[in-house]
Amino acid sequence: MSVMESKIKRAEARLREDPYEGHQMIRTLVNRQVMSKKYDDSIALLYSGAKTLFELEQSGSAGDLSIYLMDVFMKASSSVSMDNKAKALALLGSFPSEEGSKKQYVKKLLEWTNCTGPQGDRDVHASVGIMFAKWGDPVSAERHLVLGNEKCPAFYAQMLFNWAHASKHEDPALFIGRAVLKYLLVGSPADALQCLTKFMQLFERSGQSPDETFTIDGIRIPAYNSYPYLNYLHLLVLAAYRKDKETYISLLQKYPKKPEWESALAKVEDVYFGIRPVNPQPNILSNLMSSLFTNPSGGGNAIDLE
Amino acid sequence: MSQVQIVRSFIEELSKNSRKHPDRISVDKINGSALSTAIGLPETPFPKEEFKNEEKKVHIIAKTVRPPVISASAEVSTSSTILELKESLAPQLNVAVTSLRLLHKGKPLVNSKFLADYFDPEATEVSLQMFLLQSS
Repeated sequence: MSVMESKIKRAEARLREDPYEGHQMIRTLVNRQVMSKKYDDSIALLYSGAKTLFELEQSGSAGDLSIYLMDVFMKASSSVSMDNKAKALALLGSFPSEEGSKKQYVKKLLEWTNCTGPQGDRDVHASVGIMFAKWGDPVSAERHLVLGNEKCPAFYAQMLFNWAHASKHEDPALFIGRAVLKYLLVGSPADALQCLTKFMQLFERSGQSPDETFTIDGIRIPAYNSYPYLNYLHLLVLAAYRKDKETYISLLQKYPKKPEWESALAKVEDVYFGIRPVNPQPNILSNLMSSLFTNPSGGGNAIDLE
Repeated sequence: MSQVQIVRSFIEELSKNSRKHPDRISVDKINGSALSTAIGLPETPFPKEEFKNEEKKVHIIAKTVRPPVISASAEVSTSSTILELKESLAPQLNVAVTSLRLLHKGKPLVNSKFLADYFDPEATEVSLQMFLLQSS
């Protein structure tokens, strides 16, 4: 057994005897290793210590060591290698929803992996998205699922289906529409369609048989008389794929825009159909009077709520 | 006009044109502000309990291919990473985690991936091929 392996074994034993003491011991050891630039040793110790603390349900201390591990990765300019990523994702999966440090860990994980590409690492985004869903934060999950890897559309569909299924009265299209619009906004009609198809499979399996099915582009499209906006979402994706402005305008006549989707649809219209919002001509006198006698209000454009 | 009739007529119209947009645009072209576009939330609270109950365990049996045949086994969650699986197997074999290579149906398993990425989620037992690398 190497010197480092025996240090790790001793640290694990100390953690099991006294988690607080063991945590402090590891921090002290790692501080010394980092000062001596022995980054590999400190990474091994932090990873092992954090894992053991999570097993012992000491998530506060485990979170602290996990965050320290991210700091060491960045300090050491550690590459996002398969092994380092594996350690980072294993720890991510160990955070319980009630642990307060989880978001800080996620922030550092994303910071570390941002160097891998313009939008970071797809596997990391997938894992972060899945964990946010497990922690009960679907809005945070969505941002990462749309940037995640190939397993995300199916997971996203399942997440939204579970949510829709919990609703007694809301239109299921309100749920899956979130994914369709978000995927269209990031330029991925393929993922929008994959997610929608998976959602519809789950919907059908729950006892909601379509009134008729159609086929286009080799894809099965279920049509429902009772759920018009589920139909609309399929047609929207197909029109977006074709950049078919005329068909989209016809769609608008049959399916008035849902208010929840206004901002997103405005951007989809611009990107796929070349339809830009009409800016009203400025009334200079009106604006001047308004600025003299009232406080200026917030802008009228879509505001980022996330 | 019924919904089915409306859909039929739109599908007929759309079939006349071919696709013009790629399946996905390249990542560097993604508009960052698009990710933050607000979409109105449903009223129904999100049911987080559904995901907590979906953790599944699978029994893994790993065996060396060449004689002498050595085996190890572990019961792990499908949401575990391959690295975590190796960490469960390595102590049984008295080897370092870095010496273990695992394959499933001839395909090497990557440490940063999850068991659920490789196996049928309904599987309760999975057999793997194992290679023990000589440590230098």
